[in-house]
Amino acid sequence: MAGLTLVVLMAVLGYGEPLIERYVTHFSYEEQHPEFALQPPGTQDISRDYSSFDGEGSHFDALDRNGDGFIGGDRELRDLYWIDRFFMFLFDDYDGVLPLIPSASAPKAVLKPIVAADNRISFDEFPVGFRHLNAQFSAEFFDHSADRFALAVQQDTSRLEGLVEERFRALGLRRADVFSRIDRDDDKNLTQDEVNEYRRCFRPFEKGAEAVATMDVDGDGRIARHEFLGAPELHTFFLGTDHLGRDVLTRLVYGARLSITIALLATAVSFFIGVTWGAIAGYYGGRVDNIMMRTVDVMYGLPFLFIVVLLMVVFGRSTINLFIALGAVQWLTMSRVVRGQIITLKEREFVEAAEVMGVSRMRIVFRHLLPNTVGPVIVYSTLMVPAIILEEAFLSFLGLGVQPPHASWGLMITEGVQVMETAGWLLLYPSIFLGLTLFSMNMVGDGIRDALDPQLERD
Amino acid sequence: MSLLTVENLSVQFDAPEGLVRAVDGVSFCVKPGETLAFVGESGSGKTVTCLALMGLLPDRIARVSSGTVLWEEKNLLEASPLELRRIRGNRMAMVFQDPMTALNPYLRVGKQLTEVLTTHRSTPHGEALLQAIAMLERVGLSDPEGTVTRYPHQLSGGMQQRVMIAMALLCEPSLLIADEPTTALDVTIQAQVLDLLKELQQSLGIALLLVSHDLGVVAGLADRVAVFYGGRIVETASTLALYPKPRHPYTQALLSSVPRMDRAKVDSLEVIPGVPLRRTDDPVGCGFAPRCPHAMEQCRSEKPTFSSSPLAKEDVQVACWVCPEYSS
Repeated sequence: MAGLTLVVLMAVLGYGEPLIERYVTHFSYEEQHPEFALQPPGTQDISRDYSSFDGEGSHFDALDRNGDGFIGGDRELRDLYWIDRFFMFLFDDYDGVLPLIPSASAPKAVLKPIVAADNRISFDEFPVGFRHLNAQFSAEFFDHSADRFALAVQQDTSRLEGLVEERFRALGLRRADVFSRIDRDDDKNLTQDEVNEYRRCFRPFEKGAEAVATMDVDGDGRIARHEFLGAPELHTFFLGTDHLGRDVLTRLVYGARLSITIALLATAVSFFIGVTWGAIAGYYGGRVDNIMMRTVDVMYGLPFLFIVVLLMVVFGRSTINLFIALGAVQWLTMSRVVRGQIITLKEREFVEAAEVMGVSRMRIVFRHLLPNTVGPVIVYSTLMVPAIILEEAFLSFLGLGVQPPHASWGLMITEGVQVMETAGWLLLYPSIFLGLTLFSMNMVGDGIRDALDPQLERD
Repeated sequence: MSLLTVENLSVQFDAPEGLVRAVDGVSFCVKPGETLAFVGESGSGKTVTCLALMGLLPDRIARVSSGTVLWEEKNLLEASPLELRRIRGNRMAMVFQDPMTALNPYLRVGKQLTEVLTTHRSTPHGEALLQAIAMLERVGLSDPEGTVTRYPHQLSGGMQQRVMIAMALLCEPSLLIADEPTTALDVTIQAQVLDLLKELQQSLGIALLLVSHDLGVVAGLADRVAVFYGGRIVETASTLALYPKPRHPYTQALLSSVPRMDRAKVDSLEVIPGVPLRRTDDPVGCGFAPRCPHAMEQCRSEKPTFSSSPLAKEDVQVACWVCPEYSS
C-alpha cells in the first residue's frame, strides 16, 4: 500500500510540476542560471530576486506612511512615483517591479553629508552626493528604505564606495553609466543645474498614478500590502543545480512525469502484446506455438536498438513513439513467461472442465487461463519498469529519446555520472528518486498480485 | 433407441516406450435415463474412453485409431469443433474426479456456473445467476446465495463436488459422465454425493455414465456394469445379474477381492495373481490369460469376442472362452 502511494505520489508530483514550480521551487525545468552552474544543494538564488523583493516588507512599510495598510493618497503616491522614477533612471529594463539589493550586510542608513564643499558631485561622490544634494528626492526615499535599498551613507566613505560599487555590479550596472546620464556636459561633475534638470522631468502625480495602475489589482486606486510588487522571493536550489544552472529539484519533479509515464505505458504495451502472444502460443501449442515462438526467437536475435531506431524513424520521434518502441521490444520475454505458465496450466483439470462445458477456446485462454498466470506476470512487469527507465536513458543519450531541455530521470542520471566526482548531487538525487520508485513498484507488484489472488482474500 | 452408441472404439497413445493401446475395440451403448458403470483397475482404459467421448484426448500424443461414437445418429469423432462445442456441456456434461482442481481457483463460483448458460443458452447474466442459485439449492447446498460469491477454495471438498455437479446439470444434459466423482472425497461425503447423484439422475431422467474402481459404489448406483480389463470390455451385465453371478474370471476375481461384511472374517483379502497387462503389448490371445486360473490353450492363441450368451434376456455379454455360456 505504501508502495502504491509512493508511485502515485511520484506520478502526481510529475504532473503537478507546474504547481510545484509555482509554489515550491519557483524555477522552471528549463530555466538556466549560468552564474549558478553546478552549485551544491541549498544554494540561494539571489540574482533572480532583484526583479521583486521586499524582504521584511519594509519597502511597503516605508511607503505606507500613515500605516493604514495601503499605499494611497497624494503623499504616499508621490513616494511611489519617486521610487518608480528612480528605478526607471537606474535600470533601462525597469518595468515597475522593485529590484533587490542583498540586504544582509547593508549598514544602517546614517544621513551625513560627505559631499565635498564645492557644491558639486564628482564621480567619486556619486551616487552618495547625488542623494545628498537632492535632499527632497533622496531623503524621503532613502530614509524609509535605506536598509533595503542600500545606497546608504556611512562615515566610512571608502567602505561605502566599495559597497556602492558592489551593489551596482549586482544590479548589472556600471556606476559610470548612471553618472554620465545626469552629467550632461560631461565634465565628470554634477552641478546643481544638471540635477535640477533631471528633477524637472518629474511629473509627480501623473507618474505616480502609473505606478499605482501597475500594482493596483482590485482597482480601488491604492495599493494593498498583498498587491505590492516586491513580495520576498529569495529562492533556494534545494537540490543544487546542474551544469547549466538549472534547478535539479524542478527537473527531477518534471522528470518523474516523463520517466514514470514512459515506463508505465511501455510496460503496458509490452504487457498486452506479450501476454496475448504467449497465451495463444501456449494454449494452442503445436504448429501455432512453433511459428509464434520462433518469431520471438528471431526478434530476440535482432539487436534491440536497431528495432527501436527503426520504429522511431518510421513513426517519427515523439515521446509516445518512444514508449511504443520500448514496449514493442520488451514483450518478448513476457510472452515466454506467459507461454510457460499457460503450458503448465492448460493440463489442469479446470481447463478440461471448461472445455467439456463447451466454452470457446479464446474464452478459456482469456477467462480461465490468464487470471491464473497473474503472479509471475505481475512480478515480471514490475521488474520491467526500471529496465525501461534505464533503457530510455540510453536512448536519450543516443539522441533518440527525451531531448534537452526536457528532463527524464534516466537522462539526469546519465548526465550525473559524468560529473560524479565534482558534483555528486547530480547523480545522487536522481538515483534516490529512481530507487525509491523502483522499490515501491515492486511493492505495488506484490500488492496487485496479492489483491488478485482470491486465495489470499481476507474474509 | 440409445442415446450414445460406441462401436469398436480404439485409442492409441504414442509413448516413449512404444504404442500404447489404451482402449482397444470397446463397444457399448447408453440408453436414455439409464446408469452405466465402468469398473476396472487403474489403467484399464475406462477414463480414456470417457475422455475420447468428450473429445478431451490430448491431440498431440493420442488418437482414436478406429471406431464410431454416435450421439443420436451423429458421429462425434467426425463432428466439427463448433458442433462438438454445442453438444458438450449442453447435452453431455462431465463431473471430474477432483473438484479442487476442476474448479478455476481464480473465478467465483457464480461466474463459473453461469458461464455454461451464457455460452450455450445466451441467458442474460442475472437470470443465469438465479438459475445457478436454484441449481445449487437443488444439489443440497445450504447457502446458495452466499456460495455463488465465493471462490472455490472457500468451499469444502463436498461442497465443491456439489458445485461441479450443479455446473454439469445446469444445461439439463441428457448424459452425465462422472469420472470417479467420489474418489477425492472422504467416506461420509462420498455417500452424500452418491445419493445426490442417484436422486438427481432419477428425478431429472438423465443418463449417467459412472466411472469407478469402487464396486460398492457401482452396485448402489448402476443399472448396468461394464468391466474393463486391458483396454477392453470383458463383461457387460446388468447390476442385478453381475453381482450374484459374475461370469468372466476377472470379474469373479475382482468381486472376491472386495472385503464383505456378510462373509466370514478372513485374515487377508484375496488377490489376483500376476501383474496387469503391459499396455505396449498386444497379446495374441485374451489379455487376462496369463493371470487367469482357468486359462486354456484357446485363450492364449485367439482373442475372445463378445457373444451374446444364452442369458441374453439378462443382458449379459462376456468375452471369454472359458465361460460356460461360450462353450454351450
